[in-house]
Amino acid sequence: MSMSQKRMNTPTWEEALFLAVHRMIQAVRIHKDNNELVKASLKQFKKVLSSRELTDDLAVLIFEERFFVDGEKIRFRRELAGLIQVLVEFFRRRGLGGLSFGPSVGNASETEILRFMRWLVQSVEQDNPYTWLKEKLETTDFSWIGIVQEVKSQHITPEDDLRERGRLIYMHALTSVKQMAEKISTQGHAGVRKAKRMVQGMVDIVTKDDGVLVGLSSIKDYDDYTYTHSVNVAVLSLCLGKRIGLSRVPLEHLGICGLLHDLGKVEVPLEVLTKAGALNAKEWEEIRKHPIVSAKQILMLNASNDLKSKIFLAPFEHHIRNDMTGYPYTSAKQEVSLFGKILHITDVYDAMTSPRAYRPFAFSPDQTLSKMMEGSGSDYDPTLLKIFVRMMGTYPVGTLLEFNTGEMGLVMEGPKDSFGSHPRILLLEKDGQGGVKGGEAVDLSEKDPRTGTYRRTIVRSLNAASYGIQPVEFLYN
Amino acid sequence: MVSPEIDGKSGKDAVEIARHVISSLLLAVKMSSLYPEDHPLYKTALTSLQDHLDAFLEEYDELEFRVEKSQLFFEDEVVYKGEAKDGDLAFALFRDGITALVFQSEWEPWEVRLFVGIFSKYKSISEEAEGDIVTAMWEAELPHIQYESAEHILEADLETEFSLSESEDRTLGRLPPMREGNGPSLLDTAGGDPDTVDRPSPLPTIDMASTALTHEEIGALVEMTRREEERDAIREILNILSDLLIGKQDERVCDVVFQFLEEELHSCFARKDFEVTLRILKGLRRIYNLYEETQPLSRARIKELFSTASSPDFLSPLSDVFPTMSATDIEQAKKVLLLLPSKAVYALTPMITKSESTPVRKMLSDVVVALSAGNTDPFVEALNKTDEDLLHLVVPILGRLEDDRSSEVLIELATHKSERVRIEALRAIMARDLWVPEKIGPLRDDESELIRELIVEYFGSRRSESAEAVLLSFLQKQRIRDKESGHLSPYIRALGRCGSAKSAPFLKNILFKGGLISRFRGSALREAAAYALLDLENKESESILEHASQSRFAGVRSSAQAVLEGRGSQGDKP
Ligand SMILES: [Fe+2]
Ligand SMILES: [Fe+2]
Repeated sequence: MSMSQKRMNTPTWEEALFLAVHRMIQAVRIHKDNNELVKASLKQFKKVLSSRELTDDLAVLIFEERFFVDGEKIRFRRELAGLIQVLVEFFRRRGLGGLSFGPSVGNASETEILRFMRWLVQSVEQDNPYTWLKEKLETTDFSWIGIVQEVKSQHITPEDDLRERGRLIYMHALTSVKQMAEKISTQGHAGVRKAKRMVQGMVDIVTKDDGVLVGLSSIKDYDDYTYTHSVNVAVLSLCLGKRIGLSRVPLEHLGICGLLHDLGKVEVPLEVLTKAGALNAKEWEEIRKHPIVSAKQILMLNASNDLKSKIFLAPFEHHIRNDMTGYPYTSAKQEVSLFGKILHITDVYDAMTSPRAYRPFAFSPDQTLSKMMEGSGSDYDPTLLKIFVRMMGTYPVGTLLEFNTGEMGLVMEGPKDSFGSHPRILLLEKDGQGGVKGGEAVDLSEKDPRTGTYRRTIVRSLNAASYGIQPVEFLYN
Repeated sequence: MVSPEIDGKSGKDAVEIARHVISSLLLAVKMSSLYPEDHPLYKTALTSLQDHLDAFLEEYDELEFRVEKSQLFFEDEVVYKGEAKDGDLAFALFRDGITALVFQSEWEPWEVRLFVGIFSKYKSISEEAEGDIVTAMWEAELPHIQYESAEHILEADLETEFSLSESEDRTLGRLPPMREGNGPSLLDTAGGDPDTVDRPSPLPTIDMASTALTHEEIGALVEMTRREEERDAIREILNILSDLLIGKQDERVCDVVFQFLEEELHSCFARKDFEVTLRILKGLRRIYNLYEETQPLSRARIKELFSTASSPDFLSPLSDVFPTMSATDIEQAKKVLLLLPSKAVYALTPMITKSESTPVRKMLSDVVVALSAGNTDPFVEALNKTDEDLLHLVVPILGRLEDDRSSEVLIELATHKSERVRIEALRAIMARDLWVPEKIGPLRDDESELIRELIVEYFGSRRSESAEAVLLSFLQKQRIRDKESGHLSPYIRALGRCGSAKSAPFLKNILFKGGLISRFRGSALREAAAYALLDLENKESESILEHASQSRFAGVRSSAQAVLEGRGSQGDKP
């Protein structure tokens, strides 16, 4: 306690400065110039500023809610936390990023200081406080003070940041699944650390905004189908899991289940996996083994039994339908687990929307959803399927649409309201090199003011991947 | 530039305290890896860490350390310098991509304790670890100990370790050119429109209103998530494992499955979860019995697992949970142990001697008896290892076994140098109704009164030539002097119960001995002989008694008369 007492008596220079600024602001807000409080705060302010000899301008800046003096982040005593918060807010509301004090600050007249402080306080009433203040200062010759405009952190909005992070994690997750599959097939075992980290990252994202992940799940990869598919299943399962209110750690396990559900395919011969035509009975037998093999591989992971027991079941069950048909046959089960049901839905969705060797087309996302609705109850848990469909919206992010205007566009945003039947669209244009590039972003709810009808109506939906289009490349860049 | 009396001192102090935080953190981590949570050394280290955190965070909002490969910074000062190697504080944080570690002023002791635990667990991890500091912190969700992490570790892996992804350069994968067809004009270069094949109507048919959840569905959903939480993962895994085991015989899979089961069993014992243990063992038995012909590998492994589960190493955690077991626990544990092979007896026997709870000892004894049926070797082996002082606690079990081997041991133990062991052995022999009078004959003059009483009871329990021979030869060797020989009367009476006409002359001798001497009157020996003669129940002895009842010596006469008169009431009582 004695140490803290000592420090209370000797505030740092920065603390003294902020105390003084705060006091002045409060004083001039309420009182006239001749008020005693104003005078005292002015005196205090001058005293602090003259106690530090400046050879150059001293910048006091705010960045991400923190104060920096001379480029150094300032830490405060706890007692000052409230006051600092008030100051941060004060500057934020004025669009100010901070102040800079010139070397002559010690000689500034009281009148000048007061004038500046009053402007500072009043500026909040202006449309553009920063410009207004700047103009005010230009009318003077105050060399002791300058104002700094607020800087948004790196000009990146939180949404952009989240998308970029999501994209990065998606790629890492992809690598981690491949790595695990490779390790398992060469060494017979693998760790789950990276997969776990990636899933945790995804959970963080999904808790903030599940739209980001839904968009990422439009990534399709013809060659690396199994891996992108695994990540997509993880991603979509997390979104669905979040919708039904699962908490962090169960979500983590669900995500890992998604990543690993098709691990067993490493034992299915590649010719069978990529066979273009219909499979014969023996080949089918090979395919049908993979959930069991996935379960085996999970048991073989270098992980605690506790974790294994939580991620083991759903991959085993992911091809069992809601009515308990499907594969593998298991004598003992009466019902598929919740994770198994979720995986079954997201697995089918991603498989149907992915271009595959054995069928000449992929369903568009909305077609897939309506086809899946036909299997509600028999194939899929009806409640979970409803939630999934609502989550994806009428036109899931990344759906390629053709309009009556002849234009084409990609669905940009997940359903915010009205289930996305009038989503925001990124129009596509020819890039002149045989491909397409992103054009204008439009809203399908936009109406022609003259006729009162929608500017664009949907003629049909298409599967973007089938046209060589990765929606993410257009939407997330 | 800065006025020293205002800034310098406290700034320096803060750095100093930050250093103390790190050094006390290091100590706490070390202690936590050496000692259990309730150990005073660990507690002291933790308190010291908390004090230092307090010293800093009482005044400041937060304490942030910046992480570099082998050092930690507080502001611009190095507050920790280590080495870029496994187990190092800074390196471990760096390895996991942590760039900053922040303690916030509202921290609570449990967070610090958890953090120390996490760090000590994950400070060095294997290449194939299940998690790291970041994954553990993420799961622990400590509200006031925050970290900033980057994925650079995984970037590094992408570049060096992994060849599969090289070709990708972290861009999205290739999408195939599509078939020829009537694609939309804009996309003609991309190929045809594959979607025209077998596709439903161009516009979606989903009626979104129909996807609204009904009241019942919301209820069902809640129920489903609740069930998920209560799911019996072990039961389900067992079911699937059964499917795996009866499938194709794959040695590696068997290895893994059984390793899983073994670990699970082990931890079940440690946490008293006998229900799960029971389920696992029963499940395995079922598989074992079901696939006698077809699954040699699985069957061999199941046998192996049961054998492992019966070993002292495996069962030893039980000793720790015995003291806190409820009656139900004991009942459950019994069911589990009864499933084990007889080998387990070797591990369980010492537990009987160590346990202080009577119900536990009883349960274990029952189990040992049951498991020893058919093979008593493990029990005998365990007996041989048992401390002499404790041996008597397990000897009674021998009384409940039935084979020859244990009889031999029992007979041997009947002459053990410890009185308690002899007593228990003798009782066990009697409990088993083991008839070996010659073998335990030597106990007739045992120093223990209780043993002598038991021997008399034993010998007198039936007609037996051998018993008669043992007793007779013993008694004949004694110098029968009434005053000093009172202790022999129980033997004499026992002789009456086990003996035959052969013993009559000897008994007659005692009955008539010293008839002239008046002080011999009413002698206990004479009386005992009279009773014995009565008990012999043969003609010769009857006539001796008749004769004695008319003896001119009062002492002889009264003894015989008393016996004859009391016949039927007291005479037949030992
Ligand atoms: Fe699958
Ligand atoms: Fe799949």
